[in-house]
Amino acid sequence: MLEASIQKKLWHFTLHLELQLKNEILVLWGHSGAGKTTILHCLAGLVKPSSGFIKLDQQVLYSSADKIHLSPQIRNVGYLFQDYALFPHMTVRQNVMYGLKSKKHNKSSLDPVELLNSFGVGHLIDRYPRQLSGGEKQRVALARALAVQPKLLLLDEPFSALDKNTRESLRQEVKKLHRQWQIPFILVTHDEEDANFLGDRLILLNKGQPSQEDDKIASSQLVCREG
Amino acid sequence: MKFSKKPGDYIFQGVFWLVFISTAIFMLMLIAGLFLFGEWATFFEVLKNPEFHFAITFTLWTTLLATVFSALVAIPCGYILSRYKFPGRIIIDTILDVPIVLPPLVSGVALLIFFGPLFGETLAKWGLDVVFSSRGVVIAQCFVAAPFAIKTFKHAFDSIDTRLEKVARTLGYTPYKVFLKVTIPLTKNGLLGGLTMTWARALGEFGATAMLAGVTRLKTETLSVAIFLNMSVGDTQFALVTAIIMLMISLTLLVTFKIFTGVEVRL
Repeated sequence: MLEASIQKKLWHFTLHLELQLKNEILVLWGHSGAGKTTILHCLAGLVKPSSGFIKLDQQVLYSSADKIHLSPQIRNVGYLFQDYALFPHMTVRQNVMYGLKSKKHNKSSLDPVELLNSFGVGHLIDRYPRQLSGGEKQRVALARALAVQPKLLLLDEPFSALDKNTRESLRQEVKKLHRQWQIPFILVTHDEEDANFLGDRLILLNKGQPSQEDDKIASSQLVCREG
Repeated sequence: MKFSKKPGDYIFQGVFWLVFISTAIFMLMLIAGLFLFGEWATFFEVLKNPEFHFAITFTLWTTLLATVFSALVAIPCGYILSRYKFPGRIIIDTILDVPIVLPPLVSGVALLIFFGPLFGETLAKWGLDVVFSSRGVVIAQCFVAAPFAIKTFKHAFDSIDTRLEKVARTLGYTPYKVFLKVTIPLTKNGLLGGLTMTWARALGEFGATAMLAGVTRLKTETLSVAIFLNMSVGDTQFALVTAIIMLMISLTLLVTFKIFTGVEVRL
C-alpha cells in the first residue's frame, strides 16, 4: 500500500499530488512537462519533494514534518526507464545480478536465471545490451528491476520506444506480472491504449495538479479529456 | 550528382586542398628536419650521458606525480561541473580554465608569489620548500596540466546517460558505489584519454617550471630544461637528441590518446 501527499515546487508551477494506492496499477497521464517523471523521481528518492510525506507498506520514505528522506538505495522502489537504461558494459546476467549484489538478500531472493527465463530472455544471458532488440532490452530491464523484490514498481513510458507488436505483447506481460507480484505499479504513459489496458486507476495531470481521477476509464472519455 | 561545377568551385576546393597539403608537408618536414640534422653517432652518446639519464628519470617521475595529482583534483572537479548546476558554475569553470590561456611565464610568476612571499615561510616551517626545488617542478606541471584533466574528465562524465546512475541508485547502491561500478567503467576511455593529454602537457611544461623551480642543471632539470640549458651553451647535438626523444614520447602519447578516444566514439 502506497500513501503519498507531495508538493514539489518546479520553476513554472507547483506539483501537487495525493495518492492512496493498493496493489493496483495507477496510470499517470498528461502532456510533456506536466510533472509525471518528477513524481516518479520523488517516489524513488531521486528528487526531494518540497513538502509532504510518502509511506510505503507502513514505512515512511519521506516526511517533511519528521525530516525523513530515505536514500533511493534503501527505499525498495523499482524504476523502469523508457530507454531501458541497461548498463552497456555488463552482460544481461550481470545487469540482473547488479541489484542483487548491492544488498545481502536473504535466501528467498530470486534466481536471476529463472527470472530471465520467465521473461523469455533466458537464452540471452551472456549477451550485451547492444546485441538485444528493444523488446528484449525492456524484458531484461524489467527482470533487473524485479530481481531486488521491490515493494513498488515505477514505469516511465516503458513501451514508447517499441514497435506496435512488441508493445502489445509487453503490455500483456506487464499486466500478468502485476497479478503475480501483487505490488502497486505506477505507469507514466502518453499512450491511450496503454492507459486503458493497464490502468486500474488514472490520474490526469495538468501543470502538476491532478485534474481528474477515475477508477476505470473508457477510451472515448480519455480522448475527450486530452482533446 | 550532376557535373555542373563552375570554375569557381574548383578554385575554392583547390585552395583548401593546397593549404591542407602544404600544412601537412610543413609538419612532416619539421619533424624530418630534427632527425636529419641530428647525428646518429652522437645520438647513442647522448643516450649514455649521465645528464640525459638524470633529465629523463627526473621528467618521468615528476610528470607522473603531476599527472596523478591532476587526476585526483580533476575527478571531483570534472564530476561536479558535469553533474551539478549551481550559481556561479560558469564563473568557476572559467577560473579553472585560466591556466590553459595564461602564458606559462605568468603562471610561473603567480605560483612564485603564492609559494614565495605569501605562504613560503609557513611551508618552510613544515619542511615543504617549493621554490627552486623538485617539488616546485611537480607543482608547476600540475598547475598547467590539471585544467586539461578537468576539461577532458568533465567531457567524459557528460557523455554518459545519468539515468544509468539513477537506476543503479534504485537498485540499492550508494552514490560512492554507483560512481565506482557505473560511472568509472563507462567513462574509462575518456578518463584514460584525458590522462594521456594531461601527461603530455606536463611533459612539455617549461615556462612555469623555470619561474618557480628554476633551471638548475642536475637539480630541476627536466627534458625541456635540458634542451634549453644545452642550446644556450651551444651543445646543439645534446639538445637535438633530447628534442627527438621528447618528440617520440609526445607522438606515442598522441596516438594513445587517439586510440582511447576513438574507441569511446565507437561505443
